[in-house]
Amino acid sequence: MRILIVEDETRVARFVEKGLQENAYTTAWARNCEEANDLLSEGGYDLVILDLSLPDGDGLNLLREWRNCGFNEPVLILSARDSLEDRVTGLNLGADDYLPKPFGFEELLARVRSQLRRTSQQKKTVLEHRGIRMDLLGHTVSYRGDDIELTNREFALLEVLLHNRGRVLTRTQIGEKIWDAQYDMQTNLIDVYIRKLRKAIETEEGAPLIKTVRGVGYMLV
Amino acid sequence: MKTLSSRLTLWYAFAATATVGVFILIGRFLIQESYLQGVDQLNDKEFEEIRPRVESYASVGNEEKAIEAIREHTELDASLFFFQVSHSGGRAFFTSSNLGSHELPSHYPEGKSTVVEDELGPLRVGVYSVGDFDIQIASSLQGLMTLQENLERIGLASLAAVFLTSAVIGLLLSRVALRPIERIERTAARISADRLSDRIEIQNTGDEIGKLALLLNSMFDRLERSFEEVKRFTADASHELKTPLSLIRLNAEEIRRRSQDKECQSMADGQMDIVDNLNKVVNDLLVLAKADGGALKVSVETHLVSGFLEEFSTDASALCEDKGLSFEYINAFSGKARFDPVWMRHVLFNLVSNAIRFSVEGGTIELRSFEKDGEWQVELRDEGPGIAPDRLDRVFERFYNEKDQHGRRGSGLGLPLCDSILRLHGGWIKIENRKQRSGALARFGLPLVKDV
Repeated sequence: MRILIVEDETRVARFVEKGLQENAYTTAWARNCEEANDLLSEGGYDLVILDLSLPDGDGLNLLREWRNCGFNEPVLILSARDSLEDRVTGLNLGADDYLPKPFGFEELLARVRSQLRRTSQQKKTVLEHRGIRMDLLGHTVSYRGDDIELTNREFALLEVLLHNRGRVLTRTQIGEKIWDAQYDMQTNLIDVYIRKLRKAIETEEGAPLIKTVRGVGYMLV
Repeated sequence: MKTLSSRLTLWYAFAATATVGVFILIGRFLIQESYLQGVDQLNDKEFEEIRPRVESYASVGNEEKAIEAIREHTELDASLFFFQVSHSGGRAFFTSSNLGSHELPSHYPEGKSTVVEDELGPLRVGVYSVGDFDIQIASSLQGLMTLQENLERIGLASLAAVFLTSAVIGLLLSRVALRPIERIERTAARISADRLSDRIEIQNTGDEIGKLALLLNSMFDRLERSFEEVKRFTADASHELKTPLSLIRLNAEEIRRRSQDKECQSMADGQMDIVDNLNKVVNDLLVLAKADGGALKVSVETHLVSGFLEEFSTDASALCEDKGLSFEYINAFSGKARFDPVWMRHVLFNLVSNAIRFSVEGGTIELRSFEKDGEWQVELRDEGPGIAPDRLDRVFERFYNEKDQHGRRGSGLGLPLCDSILRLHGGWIKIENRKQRSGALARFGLPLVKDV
């Protein structure tokens, strides 16, 4: 898997490159629009991480050009501009994800993985994991055969976790899936719902179902 | 008559009709005068024919002879004239047979006048004196009456026609004259925060409308410049602040990953929390800066209040429950309001977070929504200690913050941000203390939407 990083800040780019390489990705780094175009024209990239503030132009324009030229691989925007309008514009222009700065590497990695895996996601109507059985059509959940009452929010949260079992989900990712792309993280609402979900399911002995990944988010194990 | 164009049309039609009406009246008067003049001349002529016949008898006052002298003549001219002869200022002793039993009043002043006799209709009478006698010669004005009646009918019809035609012409004219203004209006409406570079097209810089457009354009120039400045500033500030924040966070993560030392790990965790908090402050500041400069984009649309508040209440009660508080929600307003749900939710979460922060365990937080004074109003009440009266005025100051029971402080940007957001929506927000019991009360209002 080859990833192109378009980022003008050297230290940030090095960090990201190093981290991705440690996770067995091949990377290339472009520090401005020109270099990015040159590298991309060589082809063979599976994903692009794109910073919006570049010394010789706006990353959004770059993205628009690429999409117009038929570049279809996932593009993940990385930007200091956190305003909703930039986020919405970016997604409208064909970005697949938008990660605001400051970001943690684990979060970036989680998003890169989910982008590269997206293509192979199939639709199931029943999700099962360690005794949990979720029927999406009947909107019911049972744990080891016993029905569990969940509120709509708890149900949606569990569904997101089940779809991504074994994978770390960041709070922003969860927020965006349960509310919408414009969910803003000003409260500890997600932690609260995770606590409620744990109370509802992890009543018995054994290893925890939902693991907290410090500084990143949550994972269903 | 709301639009200028319809008012102009109406004025124009009235003015045109009134002008034509005045001309018709003047014409009517002139026709009447010249008709009367003609009749008077005919009367004079008739008198000139009679005078030689009666002149010699008149000087001696011989009535019979005088009657004899004119009778034949009056009968010959009976189709045109009425005659009457009297003693000067006295009794009439002869009336022509076409007058029947009527007698022309004898006290007319000498000269010409118009009288109306019941059966004979309007008459033009000339009074002439010959010696001792007054001779009155009258002509019927029936012809003039008919003429005037026709003139009035035609006049009214043409007034109606003029009114309709001028209304149509006026409408077209005002459309043409106001078209540049409509264009200005359309362009100005289009020019908003996201399309500030548009300008009003100016056809003729010399006329009044051209000058107005020039003025508006220069205003838009200034507005655009200040918008651009705010945007550039926030983008630059954002980039300059967040890139180092990213690096701090990335480093902290790396330290946490590499270090085996528990203490070192918890320090790294602490550092990440600080970065997150700092990031929130930076975001709030940038939003405030944008709101101040008018460059904050809110997509205001009409929303049903109940659905929006129910969504929010679900999450708010989860937050309260988590802290051992109860959340009570009563909505008495079934209408709609215009707002941006993302920013409104921001406001509500802010208020609820404050309420939670200052509540004591077991307390209740109440959310009330209702219609009052033509507004949609929302109240959020807590059962905390409330706010000291001398501090109430300062809660909307930036970076002014209150310590909660645990001695923690907020960023001091939450309420100023709520204030800015509500102002952008055309609303307001107030913080006060509850009257019946201790606790703070946050209240905000938004204008109502009338349509269904």
